[in-house]
Amino acid sequence: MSEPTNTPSHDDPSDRALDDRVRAASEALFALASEAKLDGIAAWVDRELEQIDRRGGSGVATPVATSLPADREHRRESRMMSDSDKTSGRDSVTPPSTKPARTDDSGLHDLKALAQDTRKRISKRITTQIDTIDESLLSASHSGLRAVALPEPALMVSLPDVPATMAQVRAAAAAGVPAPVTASEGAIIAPLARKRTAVWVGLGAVGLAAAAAIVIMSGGKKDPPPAPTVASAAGADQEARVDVAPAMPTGPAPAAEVTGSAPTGSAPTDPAAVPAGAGAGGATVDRAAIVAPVAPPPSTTASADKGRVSDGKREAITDGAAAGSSKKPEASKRDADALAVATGTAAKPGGKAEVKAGAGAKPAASGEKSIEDLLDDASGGPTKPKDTAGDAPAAPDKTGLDTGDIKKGMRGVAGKAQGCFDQHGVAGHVKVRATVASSGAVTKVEATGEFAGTPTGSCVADVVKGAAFPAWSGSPMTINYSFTLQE
Amino acid sequence: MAEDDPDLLARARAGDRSAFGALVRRYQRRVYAAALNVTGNHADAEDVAQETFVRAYRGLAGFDGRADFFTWLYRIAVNTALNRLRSGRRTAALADAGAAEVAQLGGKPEDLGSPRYAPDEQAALTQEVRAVLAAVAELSATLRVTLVLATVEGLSHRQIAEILDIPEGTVAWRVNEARRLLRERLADANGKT
Repeated sequence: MSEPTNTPSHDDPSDRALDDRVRAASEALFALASEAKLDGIAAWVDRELEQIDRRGGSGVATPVATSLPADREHRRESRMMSDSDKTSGRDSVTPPSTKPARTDDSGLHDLKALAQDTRKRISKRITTQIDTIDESLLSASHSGLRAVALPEPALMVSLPDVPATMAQVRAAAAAGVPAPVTASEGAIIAPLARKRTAVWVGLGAVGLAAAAAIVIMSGGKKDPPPAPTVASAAGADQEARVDVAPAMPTGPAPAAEVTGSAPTGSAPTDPAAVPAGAGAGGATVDRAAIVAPVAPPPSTTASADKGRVSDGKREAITDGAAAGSSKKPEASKRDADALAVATGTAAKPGGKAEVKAGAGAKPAASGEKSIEDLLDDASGGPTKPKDTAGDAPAAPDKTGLDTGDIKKGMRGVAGKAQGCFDQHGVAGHVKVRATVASSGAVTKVEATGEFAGTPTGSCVADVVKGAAFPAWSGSPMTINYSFTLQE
Repeated sequence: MAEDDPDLLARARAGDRSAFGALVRRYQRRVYAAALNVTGNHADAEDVAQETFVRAYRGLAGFDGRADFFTWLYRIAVNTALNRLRSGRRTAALADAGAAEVAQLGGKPEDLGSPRYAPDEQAALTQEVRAVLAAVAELSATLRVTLVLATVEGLSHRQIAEILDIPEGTVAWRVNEARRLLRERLADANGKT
């Protein structure tokens, strides 16, 4: 108020008079401030900065928001100190590096320090207890999970079945059928296959004739047989792609797909049962192998749990070999479904769902998308996976909005949202909750958090109503989003 | 001889707290006055002024020096004061069922963000001053802040535009609109008395 500035020009004398009245009123209000209070600001700030430097170094780069509670406490303290300064008549201009104010109310400081120390001790104790509980919980959960989860998958990857399956593979190879193996066992089987091709021809009539016949029936019309390792690895790759592609956050069917086919449920059991790359997993005749002839080149990403998935399949097909397995009835059903899928006679969504559920020892289902992909690949159809079932007539591809869609839609109105700061002059994070219909239109918006019910919040909410998102098939979604209004 | 702002700033950024202290003492009254004009009472103004300097100290590394130090400081003060009003509005809404209802129904929530004049402070003022302050308090926060910066602080439209980060044309419009509304309200108040 003391520095000369180029004040706005007043064309209208009445404006000048009005400004004078406002200025006079403001100065009258300002005059009520005591000098001690004004000068106490510098003293308080100096003490605060000293504490900031003590806590976190120079404080120049320290985040602002971290100390507000402490600030409030100190501010109250400062106000009390200002009053005491006033009464004592002390010159309140405090040199920044000295701390005379501390001596005025040292008793208050001691009490506060004591309270702070006690609070710290208490909080530390609580924290320690929580940590202990957490650790015990974690360890208990970990061992408990292992204890519960290990036995069942171990049945599914039963090693004694491997020789039978290898014989099956040999029989299939001799019969000119695509040789189905998983990536892990391929490391073992492929060299053997190359060396003993002649032997395989001789052994073609021996072994599991029924299984070979089934495979021939289902795969006989496919392309010429590829190398076994290529087939299995490509199948695994395909499987991984299908699992990842429909990662929709809210759509019911894709969510089920992701859940059902995700390797997480089976992961804990696999390292023990099927060491990745060690070739200890069982050989398989599985869905992935069936689609292998037109699958992409071999990939090294075939997961360990893929082996287990395939193993569940193998149990189904080599019915007799897995006779001791408690999963046999389920496996038989899976086998039937999988065969139906392979021959293209019953490409129903539940088919793969059951296969996946049985293979992964999880009840969650996989969607039909991966089945469609596999069928396409097996029949030499489109090489690119479709996002949804190809039979769905003109339905939107999406079953929900993913993060990218939401960000894209909200970025479209971010500029207008920033305009709310220009209108109302309040910066900060404005959280909104928007309901988006499956048409992609925003049907309802409300500001939440600290801007709820404020002009700025209402402004941003109005802006968000104009956001547009891609359409999808399914129920409306509720989106929580935060805009940062900057100064 | 007093050092210039850039010199003190350079020393403060180098870790010299006494240099920043000198800046605080240089601007504390103006920052306090600005905070007082936005918040309307001395208790909040003191808090805002203190918080402004702490924020400024912590943000020194981010101050690029393109604007004047005072302009930058003023911007922090205005925003801190507005945040203060907003938090006070929330408190008021919680305490006052009627006000909360207004806020819920989306009536005129900005009315809740008016300066909170302390009764004892008001009692010490003349009727004319109280009438003007009341009329100013009825303005929306954006109009009020712009008017105060222009009339009380005597800042140019360019400075105000920098502080509020809005175009100069918007500043001019807000000032004129604030004057118009103020004139109307003061006329109404005079008519009532």
